[in-house]
Amino acid sequence: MREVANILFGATFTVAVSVALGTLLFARLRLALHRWEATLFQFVVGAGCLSFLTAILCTLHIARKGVFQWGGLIAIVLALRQAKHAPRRRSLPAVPLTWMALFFVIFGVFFIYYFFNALAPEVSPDGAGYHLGNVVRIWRHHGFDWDYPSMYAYLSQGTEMLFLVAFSFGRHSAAALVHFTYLCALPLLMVCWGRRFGYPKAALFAAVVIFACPVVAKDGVSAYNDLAVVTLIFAVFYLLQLWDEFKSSNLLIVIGLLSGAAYAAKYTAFLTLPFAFAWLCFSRRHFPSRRDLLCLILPALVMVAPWTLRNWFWIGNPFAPFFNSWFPNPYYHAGMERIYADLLRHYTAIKHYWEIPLQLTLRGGLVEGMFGPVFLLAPLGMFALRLKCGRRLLLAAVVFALPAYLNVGARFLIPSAPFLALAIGVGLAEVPGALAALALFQALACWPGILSTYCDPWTWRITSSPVRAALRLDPELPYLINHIGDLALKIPIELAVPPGERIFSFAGRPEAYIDRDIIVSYESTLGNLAQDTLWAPQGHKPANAQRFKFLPVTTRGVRVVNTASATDFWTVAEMRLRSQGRELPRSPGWRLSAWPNGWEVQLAFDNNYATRWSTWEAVRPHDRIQVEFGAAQRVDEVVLECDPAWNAHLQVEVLTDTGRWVPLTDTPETVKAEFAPGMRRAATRELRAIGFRFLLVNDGDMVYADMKKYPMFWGVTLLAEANGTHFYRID
Amino acid sequence: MEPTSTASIKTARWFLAALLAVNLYRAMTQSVTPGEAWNYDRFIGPTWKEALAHFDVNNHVLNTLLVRISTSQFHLTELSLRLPSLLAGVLYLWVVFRLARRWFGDGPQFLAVVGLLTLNPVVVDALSEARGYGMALACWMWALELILESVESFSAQKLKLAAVCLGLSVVAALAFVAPALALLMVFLAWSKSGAQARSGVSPGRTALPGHVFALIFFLTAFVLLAIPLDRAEWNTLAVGATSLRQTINEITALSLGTSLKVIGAVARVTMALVALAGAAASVRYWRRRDGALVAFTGASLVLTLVLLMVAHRCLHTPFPQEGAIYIIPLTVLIVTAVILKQHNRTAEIAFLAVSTVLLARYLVEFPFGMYAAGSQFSGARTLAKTIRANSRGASPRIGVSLAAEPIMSYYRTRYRQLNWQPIGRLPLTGDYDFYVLTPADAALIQERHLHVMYRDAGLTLAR
Repeated sequence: MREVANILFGATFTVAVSVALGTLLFARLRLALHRWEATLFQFVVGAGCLSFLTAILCTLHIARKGVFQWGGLIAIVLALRQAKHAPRRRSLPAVPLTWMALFFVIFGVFFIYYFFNALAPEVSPDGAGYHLGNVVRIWRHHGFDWDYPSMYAYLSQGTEMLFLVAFSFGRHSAAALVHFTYLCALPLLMVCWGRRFGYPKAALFAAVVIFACPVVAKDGVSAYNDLAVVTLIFAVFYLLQLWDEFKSSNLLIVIGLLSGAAYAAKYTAFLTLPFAFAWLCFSRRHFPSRRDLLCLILPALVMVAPWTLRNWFWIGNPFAPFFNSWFPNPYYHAGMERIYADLLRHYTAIKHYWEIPLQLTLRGGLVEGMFGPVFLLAPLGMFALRLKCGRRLLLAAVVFALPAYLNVGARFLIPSAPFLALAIGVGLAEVPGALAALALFQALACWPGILSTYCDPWTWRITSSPVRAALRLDPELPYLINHIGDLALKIPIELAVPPGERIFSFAGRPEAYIDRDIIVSYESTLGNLAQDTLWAPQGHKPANAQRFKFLPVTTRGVRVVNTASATDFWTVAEMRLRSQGRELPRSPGWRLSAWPNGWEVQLAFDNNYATRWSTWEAVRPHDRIQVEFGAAQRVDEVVLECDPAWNAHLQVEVLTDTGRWVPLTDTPETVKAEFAPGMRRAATRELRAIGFRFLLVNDGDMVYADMKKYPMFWGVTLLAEANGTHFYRID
Repeated sequence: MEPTSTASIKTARWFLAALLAVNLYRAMTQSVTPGEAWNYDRFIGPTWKEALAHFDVNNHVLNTLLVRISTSQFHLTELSLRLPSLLAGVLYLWVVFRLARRWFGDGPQFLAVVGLLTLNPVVVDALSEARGYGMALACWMWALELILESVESFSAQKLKLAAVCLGLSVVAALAFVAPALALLMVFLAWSKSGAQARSGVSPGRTALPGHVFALIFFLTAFVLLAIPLDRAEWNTLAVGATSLRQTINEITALSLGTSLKVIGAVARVTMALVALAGAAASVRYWRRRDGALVAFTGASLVLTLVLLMVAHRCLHTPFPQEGAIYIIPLTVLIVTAVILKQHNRTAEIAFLAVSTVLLARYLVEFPFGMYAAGSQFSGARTLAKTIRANSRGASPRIGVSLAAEPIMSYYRTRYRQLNWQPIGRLPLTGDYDFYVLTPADAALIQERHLHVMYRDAGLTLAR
């Protein structure tokens, strides 16, 4: 039970510090808010401030428990003193008691069910993977780990900063509980919005609909960040409407701060600030004053700064892991970014467009979650267009649904859902009994036991309430292993791998629970390289040699340039220059370069067929691989040993004395090449050379069958295996 | 409607009570029909998860829900299976009585209308058979009655209830989409046309806006149908008659117990005339408060037929078969209302004469025994009991003709004979301990030299 107490303390302390910071800020800004909404806004705004301060501590590498503890206590004491002297706030306009009772009964029942899920050991894929994986890594280093390459580590981590504070006291579940707080805050904030702006029944309906939503609930009880994002976005919308009434600059400061915090929580909330800006413009029907602009934008920039500046200095790309083609860097290939983004942007296994609304509302299996049947009534939200408030809600619903174009998972529509639910509520408000009936219908239809009877079996959702696991009456590790199969390898890994050493894995792992750094194949250039190397023996042996022969020429440089556009990658395992049938010996004086991905050009000149230089993106004109000699050399043949990109069109160019590159030939002779055996061993040796002595391989990975059959050829030893995952050591 | 009690009213009450008693008797004693058994085996007996994994037009959702409740509260028996339909039957009889009293006063015309609306064998079957048609009919008729009431004594509450009933009629049987939409459209047109004000509603009273009425109707249907219909596939939904002619022929044959071509032709012509007369009468009485019944039923019948034909042409939907039961009360109400509106003695006498002939025919055809939909399976219960008596703890394999499969599966559950091997929809090529054969498979008795244990007109049990 002590563990449970720690978890609850960690989460409560984080929330309390957030509220305290919010209280202190609101006291300075003198905002006239009502009782309920003030507390909720203090939490939301304070959490943004706490996240910002924690990010600063992480940058300075002083993110320690003591710092959080004493800093938090000081903030709480100051806030309590402040609250003592503050005048009593007015309450919001009243709502019919039966409606409030109905809301709180449904809210209460779901709350208890969800609470035990949030309190249970964290087993969500992304939560146990990178969200808390990042937190654990930061916790280990008391700040950002600058040596760990992963696209997920480059994302903004505003919510993870809150998780870090909670984690320092209560570990993983405390972090999940912090996110759960947002899940509870959002419907309450929606109710406040309804009461303040005269749509109490619509708001109570929408709050129930959102709180009961399966994908929202599952996300909210896990250590994710989507509920934090949607709460921040909704708070901005709420405050913008307040600003319409009061036109207070201090409100704009809070709006700016929240807009920045939303971006800091997740990149997909990038539209919040432009939305607020557009609101200002249209609300006053002219361009906002400089003072208003400053009040809005400056706080937003402050909140965004830790993440953009961190990435700029660390990776060279302020928006990492995106926009890598605008900010090329050696940490993440632009081409891989494009492939990854493309993968997220398309529905798989969906046959017709009409299937999408059914998937999003009733089935959920192909879109990673579902919103419940009431959202099938979204077209009825159009009735809200009659009202100004309804038009605003629908506009917000559309704007915040736009990022879902970039990622088709149901989670990415969560920011739009509260606005849509409110619009449906406003649209149906005049139909007697409809809102109550529909709220009850949604609550019933989304109750986990009932939901399981009609949704796809594999839909991402809450399926049970693990009370014993939550109260730690059952041991944690078996529960974790039961939900995350490969965690059974935790102990063998931690026994075999020395601290500080890295493991290579083709697939993502529950990093949050394994006390070693795992480099995943698709998360960084290092991962790409390791994967490519291991795939070489089976996937892409350089079985061809492209020979470009020309009349002998004396030159200071040779390059091979592509002149075509195609979808394949252009790769070169080895580039050899020849003269009179003999290879020119490679010299340290040679200057090697390539475009794109010049950082890896060496791989085409390392005499290792397991490695290769690659564009790591679809070939385009002007892609090249180039050698400049210290002194002029006589050359009559260029050989590219590779797995040819058949759609590329290559030509050899030489550097003249005048500094111009002159094309010589674009007609290669392609011959089958014979290679010495030992590719497997070469691959694992290369992996050792780049720092990996351990591998995690799944049954389904391309190399597994061969590695299992010929461990001697690979030079690997199987140390452990569990649930389809195999842990190898490279000998 | 003042509380009076004349001889005709008393007669009607006794008649309806007797009819209810007959319904109860039939519900308790008759074997299940293939439709009931199919619905039970596919949608009521299995777990929710299995039941919601597929959908076909036999799944009458409201009936399925209510039967699930009734069979979970009581043991599975024919009565618990038919209890919801029986109660819907009570509702229907009550609505018929109210409607007839309100619009046709008392006397022979009143009795004739009550008789025509309740004695038709198709209607009698629907009032206790465990399908959704009776429920749908009761809900639709109540919606009509409530709308007509609100025309007289305007009440928003009644209109809301009418909208809910209309929605429930669709939930009870999808075949009622057309008449429900037709009635909705007629109401919307009526409330928009200003007829409402002219029909005596004081302008100061708040009306229930038409779109709110429509939304209540839609949301009622949505809440109950959204989840089950998600798994519906077109090939399982598009089942029914291929033409309106077939629909009318089937309803006529079931009503009058004859499939004479000439009767069918007369029925089709009559239907066309009634539709035309109904359309004309609805236009004539549209603005008259005392003509609301004619206006609503006349326009509804025409619109229903139009909707069916448009849907068939554009969406290739089939025409309803048993689901077209709503044609019976619509026709009766239009004809009666139009004739009685004329205050023509000759026409009234002619109406009473025709009614008497029809009622006499209905009485001759009155289904005291098995439901028409399962007439050939009337012995199924006896047959199941015989197998039970002869298997005694063994685990017999029972080969069943395809048509009788749902019924035997039902009785396997009903009599808790889980020792019987599961009964599948398999060809009768294997070896079985018992054979339950329809006449189509009776040749098997000779081929395999089987011993006949039970035989009636529709089923044979052999081993």
